[in-house]
Amino acid sequence: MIGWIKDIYQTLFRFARFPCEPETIAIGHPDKSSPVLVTCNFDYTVRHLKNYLEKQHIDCFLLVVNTKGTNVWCAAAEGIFTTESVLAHLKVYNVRELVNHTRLILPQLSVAGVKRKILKEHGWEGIYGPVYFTDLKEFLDNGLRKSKDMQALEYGYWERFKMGLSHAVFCSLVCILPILLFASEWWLQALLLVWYFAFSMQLIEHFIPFERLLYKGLMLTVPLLALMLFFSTDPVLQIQIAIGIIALGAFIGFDSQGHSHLGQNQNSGKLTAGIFAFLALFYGGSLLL
Amino acid sequence: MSFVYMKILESRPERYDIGMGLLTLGSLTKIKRQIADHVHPGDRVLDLGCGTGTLAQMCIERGAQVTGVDANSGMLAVAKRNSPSANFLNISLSNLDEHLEDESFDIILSTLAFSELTRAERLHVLKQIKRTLKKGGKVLIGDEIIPENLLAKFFYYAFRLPMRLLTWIVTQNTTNAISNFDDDVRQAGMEIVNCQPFMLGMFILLEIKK
Repeated sequence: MIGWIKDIYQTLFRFARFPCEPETIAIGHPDKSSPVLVTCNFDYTVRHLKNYLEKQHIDCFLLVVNTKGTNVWCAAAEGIFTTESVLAHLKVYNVRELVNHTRLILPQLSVAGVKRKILKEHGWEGIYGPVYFTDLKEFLDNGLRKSKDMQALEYGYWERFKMGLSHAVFCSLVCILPILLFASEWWLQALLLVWYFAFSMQLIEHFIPFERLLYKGLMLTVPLLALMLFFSTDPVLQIQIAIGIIALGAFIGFDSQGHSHLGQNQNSGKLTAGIFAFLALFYGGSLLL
Repeated sequence: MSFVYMKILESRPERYDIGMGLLTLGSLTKIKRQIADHVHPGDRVLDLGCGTGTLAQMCIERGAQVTGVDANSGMLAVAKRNSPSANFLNISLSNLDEHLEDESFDIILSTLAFSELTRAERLHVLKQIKRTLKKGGKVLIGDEIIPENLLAKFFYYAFRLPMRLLTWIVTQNTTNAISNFDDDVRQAGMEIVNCQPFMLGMFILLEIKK
């Protein structure tokens, strides 16, 4: 039951860090020839991975490397989950004493941070395992060979939904103050807009024909602007609502870089700042009308 | 993780000293000054978890040769600006054995680094400290503990928790009090020869010898 509660808040607040104790866990009854699996100390992953390994009766050693609670993919990209951190763990927890081999099964998504070549220089053989730990049993039974399916990263609708939820919570927290300052009477509608953009940037983003997430965010404003023009007749109100919609679309589209499989650093910072400056000028102008 | 939030995290080193100053109400600066007072010209000093290099610079100003170690490359970039003549190593504290020779330092320092380590890591680092410290050298560790006195403990929880939250908001980092540290020092084959409390015993400055 506690696990379910943890799953919910760790999904909602996925942008924060949820560390568990870095350690070396003996799963089942491992011996000197048992596999050594490596993961990060992101509580969500460790709980689910441990549960899976126990249920599948996989006797192994699980190295929970300290990444300060960040998940494998993000920690590897951010330079927290590195060859250095894995080597440090191996040393501190005397892993050489536990097994009579040098094979480490690394998460496939750690490839950006953990380098097999450097591990080899230190006497360890790094083997990238499957993308999803639910394929570990088959991977181990197949003599550490991966099928094509095991190498494919699926970004399905359930994963997109969870990411959208986390992004919507984060954007709500960021936007609530400006919303209360500039549109306190419309706070509920504004928050609904935040959730519309955050979820759309995950669930239907791949149908929008642009590479840049900022543009995708701006494209999502089009149906809303059309609706607004249809229902509102007051030109001043139209301008102010349009400014609010475009500002939210630009911000959430830009911020989606951190929540998207499409990658980060799309160099949209200056463009986003320009859009906001332009909107601020228009907002100032609308107050004079 | 949110892109904007990540950018806040990336810019953390610049705000680290402000955040830690807030967290310790200035005690950290006092501890650093007291540590630096132990340093003499020509001393070879190792600063473990040197962060933004403020303590390294204090030691250099007293004529020491300083080697700073930190796993955070962002922090070291700031440290190189704060203390350009120090030698910095971007390595984890757990990998000291590959980079530092036996009995090569007169003084080994650390402030708020041990509280970021797990107990197993602490023990490992203390053993490395013993290995790299010269005979007759000293270790000075400033860190956070939970006070034993009941009143002080009350203040600790009443005051420190909101301060930790505030510091986390500013720096996305905080400290955790260390416990059973004297046992760890003994297990590493060293002994604590002096313990000076700061801020009602919430912080301590330990002097340790081989």
